[in-house]
Amino acid sequence: MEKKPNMSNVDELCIKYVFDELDPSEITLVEQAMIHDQNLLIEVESLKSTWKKIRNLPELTPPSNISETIIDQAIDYSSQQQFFGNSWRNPGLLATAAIVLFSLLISTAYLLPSDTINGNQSDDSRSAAAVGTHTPAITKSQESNQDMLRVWNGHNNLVYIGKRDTADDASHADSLQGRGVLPVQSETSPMILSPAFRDFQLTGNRY
Amino acid sequence: MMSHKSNNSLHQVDDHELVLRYRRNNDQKAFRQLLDRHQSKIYSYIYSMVGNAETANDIFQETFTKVITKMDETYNEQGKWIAWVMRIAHNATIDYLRKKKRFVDVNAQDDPDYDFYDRLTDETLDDAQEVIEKDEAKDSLMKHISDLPKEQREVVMLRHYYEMSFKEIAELTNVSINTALGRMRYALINLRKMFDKEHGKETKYVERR
Repeated sequence: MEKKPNMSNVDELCIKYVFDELDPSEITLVEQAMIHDQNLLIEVESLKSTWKKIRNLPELTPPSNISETIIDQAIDYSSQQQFFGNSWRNPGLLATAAIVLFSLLISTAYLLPSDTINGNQSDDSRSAAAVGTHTPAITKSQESNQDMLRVWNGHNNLVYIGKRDTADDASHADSLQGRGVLPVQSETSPMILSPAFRDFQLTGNRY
Repeated sequence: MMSHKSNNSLHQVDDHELVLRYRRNNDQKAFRQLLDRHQSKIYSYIYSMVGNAETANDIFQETFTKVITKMDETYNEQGKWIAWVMRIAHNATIDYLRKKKRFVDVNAQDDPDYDFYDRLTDETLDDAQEVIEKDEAKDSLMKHISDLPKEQREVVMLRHYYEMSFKEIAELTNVSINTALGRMRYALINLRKMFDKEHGKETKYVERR
């Protein structure tokens, strides 16, 4: 039913004239054209009278319960906004809050005793040791494993870490001692160490 | 009494100021005033496009849910609030029509018990003559408008209910001004032909070309 609008300048001026969207000079132009062209005059009057009928279209009001629901919704939403404030929408504050939270998480992870963090893992390690699987670690919770480790202070202040000598390795140990590599006590103290402190000890220079 | 005075004073306040009061001070009376001021036009537009009360209610409510929740994010205070609301209503209506994939008869064929004019609040229409005129108006206007293609009906309704300029209509419907003008012209020509046909008249519309 809809024709593709193909507006000439006259059509455009015509419809704008009916809807009073022309400037005074264009209005004069259209009115002069209508004096000379009866068909144009008839068309403009026809469009005007049809539009006048449409102007009689009534306005409908929505059901009152719908309006009240909308008002309630607006009140609820405003109350929520008031409660939380609009600050959560601020990207700067959001970023700051995220950084603080992240920092707190990281600090907590480093400062908590490893037993607290890896409680289950310790149990697992013990279970693994029970079945003969070796899991290297040097925390208090794994004292049984600690016995298997020893730290040597070798030449040029180099520190060596290796398995504790077993009966099979006795000859190898003798040869090391013969070369002047002296065993020293493990620096891992029996006290409970946090992961952060442990890392610092392992990577730092003793002397 | 205070409330009555307050409501009366809000009648004088323009939309821009009402929106500011609602947004910054959570002034519920300001929001109510905005709703009272524009709800009929918005609802009428939606209803005239979908032709069904239940659907119109849903779209109207959906429109205002978006208005309430998106106002802080998407409404630019420099623009007209009603134009922004109208865009939401228009988009919601068009979405519905696209989903439905067909045009709906405004005479509410989906809801045969529902009559467009039953909802009128005009209390002056109480004598028989006026009732007859009302029925005639119903037959000759709403039916014909509902028979228009959606694009033409849309332009007519936006102009009638919102008094939008053709530039605004063109922007809202994503067409050129020329297209919007053309749609209005063809809508009026089609309506004129429908009125004439209904009254047994030969079309008096004169083609200039």
